[in-house]
Amino acid sequence: MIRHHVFAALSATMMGLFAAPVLAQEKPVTSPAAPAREKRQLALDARELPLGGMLHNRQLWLAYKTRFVTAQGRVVDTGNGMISHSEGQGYGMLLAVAANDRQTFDRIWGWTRANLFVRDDQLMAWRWEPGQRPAVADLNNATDGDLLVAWALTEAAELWAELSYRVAARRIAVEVGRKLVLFKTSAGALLLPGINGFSQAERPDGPVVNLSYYIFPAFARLKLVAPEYDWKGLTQSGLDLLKKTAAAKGGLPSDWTSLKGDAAAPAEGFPPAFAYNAVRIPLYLAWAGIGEAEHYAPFQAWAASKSGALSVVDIKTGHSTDTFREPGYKAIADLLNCIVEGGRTGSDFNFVRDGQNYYPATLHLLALVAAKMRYASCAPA
Amino acid sequence: MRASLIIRSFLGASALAILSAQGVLAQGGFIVDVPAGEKRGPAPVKPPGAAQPPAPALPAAKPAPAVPAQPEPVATAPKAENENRLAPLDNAGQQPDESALRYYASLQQTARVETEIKRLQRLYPDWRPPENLSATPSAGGVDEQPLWDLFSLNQIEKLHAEIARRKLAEPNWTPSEDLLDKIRKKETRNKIARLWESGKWKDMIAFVKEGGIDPSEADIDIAWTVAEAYAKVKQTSDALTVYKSIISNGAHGRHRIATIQKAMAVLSMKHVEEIIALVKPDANGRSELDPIAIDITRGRISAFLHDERKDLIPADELNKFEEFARKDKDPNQPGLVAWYHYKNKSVPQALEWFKHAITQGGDSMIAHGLAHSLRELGLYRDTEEVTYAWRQPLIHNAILFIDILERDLTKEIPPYIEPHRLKRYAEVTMDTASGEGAQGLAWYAYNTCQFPVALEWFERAASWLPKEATVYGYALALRRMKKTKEFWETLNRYDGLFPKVIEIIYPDGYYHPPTPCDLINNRSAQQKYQQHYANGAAFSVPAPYVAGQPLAGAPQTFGYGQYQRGPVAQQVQTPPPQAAAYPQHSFQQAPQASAAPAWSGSAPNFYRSADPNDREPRIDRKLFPVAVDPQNPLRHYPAGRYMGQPAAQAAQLPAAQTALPREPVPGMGMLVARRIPGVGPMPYERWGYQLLPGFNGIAAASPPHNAARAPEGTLWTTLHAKDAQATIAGAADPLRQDIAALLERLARAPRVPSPSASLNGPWNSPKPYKSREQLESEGLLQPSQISAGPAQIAAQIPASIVRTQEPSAGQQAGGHAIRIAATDTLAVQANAQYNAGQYPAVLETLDRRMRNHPETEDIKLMRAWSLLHSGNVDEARKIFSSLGPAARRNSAAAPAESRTR
Repeated sequence: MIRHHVFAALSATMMGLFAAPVLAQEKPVTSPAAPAREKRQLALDARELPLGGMLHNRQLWLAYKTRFVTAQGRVVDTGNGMISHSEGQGYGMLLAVAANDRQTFDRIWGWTRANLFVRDDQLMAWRWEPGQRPAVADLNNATDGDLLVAWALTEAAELWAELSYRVAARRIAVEVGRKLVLFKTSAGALLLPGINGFSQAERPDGPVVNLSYYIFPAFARLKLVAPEYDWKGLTQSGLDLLKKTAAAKGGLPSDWTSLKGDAAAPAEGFPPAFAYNAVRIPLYLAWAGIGEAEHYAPFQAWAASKSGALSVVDIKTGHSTDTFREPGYKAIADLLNCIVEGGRTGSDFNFVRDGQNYYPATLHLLALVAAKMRYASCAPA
Repeated sequence: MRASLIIRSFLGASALAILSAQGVLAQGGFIVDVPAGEKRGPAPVKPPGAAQPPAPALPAAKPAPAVPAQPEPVATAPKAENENRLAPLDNAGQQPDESALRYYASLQQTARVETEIKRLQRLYPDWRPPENLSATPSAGGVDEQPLWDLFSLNQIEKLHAEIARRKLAEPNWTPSEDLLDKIRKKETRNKIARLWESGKWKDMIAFVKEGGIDPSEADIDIAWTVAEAYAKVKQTSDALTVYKSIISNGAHGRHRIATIQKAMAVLSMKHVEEIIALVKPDANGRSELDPIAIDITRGRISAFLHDERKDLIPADELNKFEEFARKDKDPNQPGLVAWYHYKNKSVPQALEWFKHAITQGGDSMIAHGLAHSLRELGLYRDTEEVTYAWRQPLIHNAILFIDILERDLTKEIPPYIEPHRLKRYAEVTMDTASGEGAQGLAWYAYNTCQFPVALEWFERAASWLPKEATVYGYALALRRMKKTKEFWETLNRYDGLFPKVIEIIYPDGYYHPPTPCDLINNRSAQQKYQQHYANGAAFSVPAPYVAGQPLAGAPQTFGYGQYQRGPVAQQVQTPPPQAAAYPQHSFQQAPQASAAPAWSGSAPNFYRSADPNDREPRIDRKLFPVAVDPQNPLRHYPAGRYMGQPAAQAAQLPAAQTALPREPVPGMGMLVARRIPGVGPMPYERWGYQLLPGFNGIAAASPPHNAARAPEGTLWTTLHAKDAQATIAGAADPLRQDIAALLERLARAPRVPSPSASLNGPWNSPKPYKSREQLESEGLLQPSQISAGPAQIAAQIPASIVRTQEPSAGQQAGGHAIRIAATDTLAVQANAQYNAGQYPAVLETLDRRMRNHPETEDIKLMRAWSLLHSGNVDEARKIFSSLGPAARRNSAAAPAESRTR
């Protein structure tokens, strides 16, 4: 498995089975003191924009869906035992809206409703495994999956003028707003990664957050369906937390962050790494077009790695412990390198390589959509 | 049969859903400000007779104001084109610029001097011309006119070039200090303006700091701009310092008012109050801020709604705002008052204000507030009408419409619901593909013995929101309809996930009264049932599951409504399992997955029954457990609007058309269920069967991860703590004890329309639902366009209030008449809450009432009963014993049922 999913890791941690990775330390990857080469101004675009129709390349979408979406509407995580999760269903729905492919959207949403909405509330069970009895593996939710599905439904309602999508989007968004947001903390409104297992009461180092669950471009749109919640406040607290983590050594955030007291530190029981979760943070920042130079600096330093490979970084030492092997991840680095004045992407950016797994392929398509929406000079013609 | 019994407990969940899913408005920091739509924004400043609102600071869209920031040195010079956008209000409080005057004086141009004096006096009434006018400037000479012309044209670069050229030509010449000073100031302004316009607030602040510019010494528009930039970058205290210095440095008149208005636009009210406090009222209590008193109150109300202010608005201040709001034509003004009262839990007042706002043309958000006020007062029927009439464009109302009637639909013994109401409910359910609506209709049909249509609705519910209660109902309906294959497939599919569903074939061994439908033709069931009641058994709902505590006795899965053990059940009472506590953070070693088949009755088991009489039911092993496809195959799409064809058909389009691959793991699943985190023990575990370890190795059952939980510190826990008891209370229904009445009611039950019959409702126009943008662009976001309904509904509401107030005079608390004056609004509200079973809310309301009114014995009686219902027996007893003999007599009689619906 390439990616430690969250709750699997969490459960493993709680089981005491988690083996902390001890890997040979290599050269430092990022350093706050590293001289920026040529410092170009960021050219961010934070306008409120619809997502619908932003994935223009039909071939890319066709290749994606025929590889990862089953006829039933299940989005398959090929790198992870062919399981499905709420996050993948959400990404699939977002890409279907972006590709203006309502039929596929309905298939994915239909499967999602019928198989993941098994809790007594409006959140999804996060993990589904084929060939198991029962296939739902855990009744806990994963907040990023819920947000992605709510966002996709919102965009679909805007694009196709469908009432039922809007109603479903609101129900989910309201549930996230009232059950997963700690609305009065010293750090502002905090987004919990799940109903169970992350709060102050449940962990000695709680509350624990996952900054890649702060889906900034979703926050900007969920106000369409749930205006009474403080989505702006969540955006702000996410940015503030990133500023906090940027001040630490290396400047990169870890996948899982403990916010006990006023500090932001890697959460206990998880590798203290900028890895497969946190790699989405710069994508979401750029996709929302928010933040300032200081928010992007650590990610840009990471993306500018000259060795050609993007590193998984131990944030305590600043050393690389592994590399993101599949090419899809590089699209995030390409996007980061491009969102400066006069930025351009290479031809790799326009081309999603065959044979990749679900996660890097998805991230690549999302980066393309983000570029198309906000950074015209970066997007393929 | 347990089907209907379960429903009651699900009602608890659904009622909570209403209270909280929608009720976010009631608690915490999530009040929707009245101007909910982006378009509406804060209401404009419109105090009668107030000063005109100040021109905005830099980002003003308007061109330069009529009176320029600085008097033009050359009165006749053409005005600089859009000099920049720094735009102060006027010149009150500013020192006039005498440079032009002195310039003309130095040229001996008497006529121009006089004109300039007049002009300055017009602008600055208090200004007197200086006496030393004839003193010549230190430098510059008499021929600076062309330079001043360039200055006034804002052509600073040319001006510099011209100065350089002249210096070159006349080495002894220097420009006047006045001119240089003016140029410096103008350059500063221009730079600040440029940085502002490009949104570079941080750079602007740095520029101000580096240049040593003291905003409080600068022109007031600069000061405002710098303060606003501080606010934008969240340097609140710096912003506050600048605003305060403007007030303290003696700015006066409209500038002070404008300063406060500007601060209100960018700072939270908490900070604005600090600035307001600097403006002291005079001896007569009059303040120079009186012209914007209404705006300030509005800001305070808004702060209260956003939880930025804890204190209530002082009564006389609120009265003034109410007076203004009542007369104002903008419905958002009374709307704001309404939300204020709503938030403050003065629901009757909120209702009146919402009604007023609606009659003023309030929008669907106002209607939403109206609906919530009605709901809080227990006027569910009116809530239903309001939410139906306003179901679009605001989906909040459509959702509340579904949820409010779901309460009644899912009642174990359903009330009569008129066919037209069922019909429109079914239509909205189909249009919104609502799992909640579908299961509501399904249970209503099921509990009124309409099994075929119940199955149709359950099938939809199970495809849209297959939670445990819904799948349970679906399985029951399948069995009723003799869909044996689907029934067993469903049980096998949800084995390991939904204990309640498995309980259908592995019952818990406790007495469950038959459903009303069972009673109709089953005499022995009737006899057993009546016997049960003759034994004095009472209905009650067990305490909710407490995480980490053993499940005493009952193999209860969740906090579902289960009836107390009657005589039958008492014989099979089981002792609490020793090891059955759900370990929250202790982890059993996971059993080896490769061990012998776990589906075995011989293995030791935490959840094993110790009772030898607790016999395992015989289940055909060809039916259960068997391997099935674990995917839920049910799909139903919203009411027939998919690319011109019925959506359900569109969903069945051949896969070839979309070229999607088949399931890559087509296995049929396993025979033995695995442990799922967040799911309690399976019923068959009582007989020693074991489950496989969970995906994370977990071996023991865990506390439910379902709707009954949310982390501490979330809005949900705040709401839930208050409403939990109210929801659990009042589960019994006296009708149950009266079979004749029960059967009579069933006979009168209306037909539930089928899903397919619900596709042609008024909402199902061939046109798709319009998006927000479309509605806006077509000007359809106007209440009058939605339907003729809302206005009529609003007009009907007063009648509804009267209807509920009349019986309230004789309505019961604890089964006894309570005398309440219809004008005693808080008592009326408390009574409504009491009758809705919201006992904690009753206590809150009575506490509020007690601040101003003494409590009569009747009110005390209501308080005592509410305390009793809330579990506070000691307090209740104290009050009961303090009451007079008549009241004590009343209190002595145990109320069988306090709900009067």
